[in-house]
Amino acid sequence: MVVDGLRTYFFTGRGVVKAVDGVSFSVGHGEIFGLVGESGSGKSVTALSIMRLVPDPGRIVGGRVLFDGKDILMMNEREISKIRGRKISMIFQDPMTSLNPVLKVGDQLVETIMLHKGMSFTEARKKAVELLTDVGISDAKVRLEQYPFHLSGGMKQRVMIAMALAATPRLLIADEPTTNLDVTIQAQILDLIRRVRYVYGMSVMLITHNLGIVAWLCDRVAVMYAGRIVEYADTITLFNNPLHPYTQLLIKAIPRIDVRKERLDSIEGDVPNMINLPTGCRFHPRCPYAKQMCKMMIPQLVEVERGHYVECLIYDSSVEWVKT
Amino acid sequence: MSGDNLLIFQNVKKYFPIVKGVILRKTKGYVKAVDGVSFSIKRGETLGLVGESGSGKSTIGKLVLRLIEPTSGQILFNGQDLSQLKDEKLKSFRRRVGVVFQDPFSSLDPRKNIMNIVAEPLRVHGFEGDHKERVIELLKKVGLRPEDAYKYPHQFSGGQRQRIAIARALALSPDLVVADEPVSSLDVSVQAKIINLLQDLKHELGLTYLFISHDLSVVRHLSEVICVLYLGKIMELGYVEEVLNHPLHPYTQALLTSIPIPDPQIIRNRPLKPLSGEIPSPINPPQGCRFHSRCPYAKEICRVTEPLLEKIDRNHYVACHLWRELETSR
Repeated sequence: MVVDGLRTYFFTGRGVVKAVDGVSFSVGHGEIFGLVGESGSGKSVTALSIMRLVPDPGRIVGGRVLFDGKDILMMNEREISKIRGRKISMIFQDPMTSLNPVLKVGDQLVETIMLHKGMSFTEARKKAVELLTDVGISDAKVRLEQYPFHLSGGMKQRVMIAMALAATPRLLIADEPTTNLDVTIQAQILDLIRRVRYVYGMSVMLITHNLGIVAWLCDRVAVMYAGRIVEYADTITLFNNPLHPYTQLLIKAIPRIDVRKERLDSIEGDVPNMINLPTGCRFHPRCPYAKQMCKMMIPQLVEVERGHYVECLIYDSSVEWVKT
Repeated sequence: MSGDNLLIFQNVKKYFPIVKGVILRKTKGYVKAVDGVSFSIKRGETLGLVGESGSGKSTIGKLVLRLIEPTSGQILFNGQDLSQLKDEKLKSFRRRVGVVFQDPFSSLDPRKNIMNIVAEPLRVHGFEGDHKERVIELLKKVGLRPEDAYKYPHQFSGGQRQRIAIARALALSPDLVVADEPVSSLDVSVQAKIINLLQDLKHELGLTYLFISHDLSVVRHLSEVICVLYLGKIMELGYVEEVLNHPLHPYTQALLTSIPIPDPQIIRNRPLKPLSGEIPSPINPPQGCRFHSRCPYAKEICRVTEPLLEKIDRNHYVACHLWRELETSR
């Protein structure tokens, strides 16, 4: 999948929110691609745009999303419904709101399988048991007869993953899949995502605010800030050699379990107001290296080393970085 | 030794009855949220209370604030039994304990300006006059500007709201601050600032914190003593560096290996070892050691006998039958 210049704006009564404003990246076959950022950075809206599920008053105003060479953004409702859930599946942060509380787990799962696989009820039921076993649910037959409220948070997320796998998709988009879960359960679910990627041979786009999860699971990662990708590299490079000031500060700001620091490094100021974005580089009001020109010039994503892109004037060779 | 202990828990239990039926209300059982917990916090120290959902950490917070009464056991604040406090004495106790909650969006009244929010504890406790000076002093202390006093909560970001909540908690110059997941809903860049602020205020004002969190990394940065809870029981307790560098309880070890460290080279060489199974329900906690159903080392004795919290060092306690065995086999 290739996302190229994606722009999704929300036209609110108080102004236009440029939630995603020119985002480009690609997800390769079988890789886990991480999209990391803080709240309001646009990572979830990027995912919803790929699925063509942007809620009102949001609209995709530009860019392309090429999946198998075809532009998802140009498809009509019928074409997109053949991709959504079949070729690209999505799981969300809160599994409770994604499962129908008045239907048995089995009915929901079986319906999904019948729809996507065109199986009969009996076949689909067999497949459902298989899928639940695959995602590590014991007593799958019993679980099929239960309602979502019978299940714990971790169980529900497993059911969601089973449902997402029902159509053996090519790409799984996981939006903060473990944010509401306890650490020991989080580790189980992440391990599961890593395993099903191999078993089902699919690509995963993992959206998270947790850099620890990125470090563990992702092959490549893009860091988002205020609707833009500010840095983009393979995971090891990004952690060993972060170039964008935001990435550098973000990595330093996390309290780590393996080191105790007397004081944590923090980032000045707050996430910008998305209606009234700063001019020039969106990070300049919080950036310790900001110069006059950062307020005026909008930086472009440049390739600094092979596969390592950064959007900051410091690294833009076409701009002379005045050291004053 | 209550001299330098500000808060002492002595075998505190809190059971919540499960009531069935509308007219003929019958107690069908109990949720044993806190089941025999003992610890103490020294003046000027921070105790970090960690645990997953259902561990009882928030219930302990509410017990300290006397929002709920313990089923049995004693809670001593400054040598006084909390359950004996009445009228004036209870009021004076409340003056000495401040609280900061997790969600700064629901803990601040949207219809009041910041001046009124921060001054409210002063008014409730009968301090006369306008509190303008005190409020402005508090706002400055937490890193806000004096002119912010006339704004309303919706005009602030999550991190700033948490600063307002901290200012309110400090209004009556408390001795103890109970902070229940104060940074859990904040973004990383903002979280670091609030952690630093709490740290600074502690040194500046000589505060004692009961810091409740599910995030071990945050607790490590803020606490001197850590208390690891599982299903209403203490599994391990001690100085934070000692416990985290040298965890003895299999549950503490599992928690530590479940946290993804934000460094690909470390984490990929030391892959996560997820604990199997789910957290059991506190209505029917497992017999014997509560952790045995998920413990990779569990033996017969663990299923039958409940381990006691054993003192193994000057300030390191662990509740596990096998710790010695595991220690030597490692």
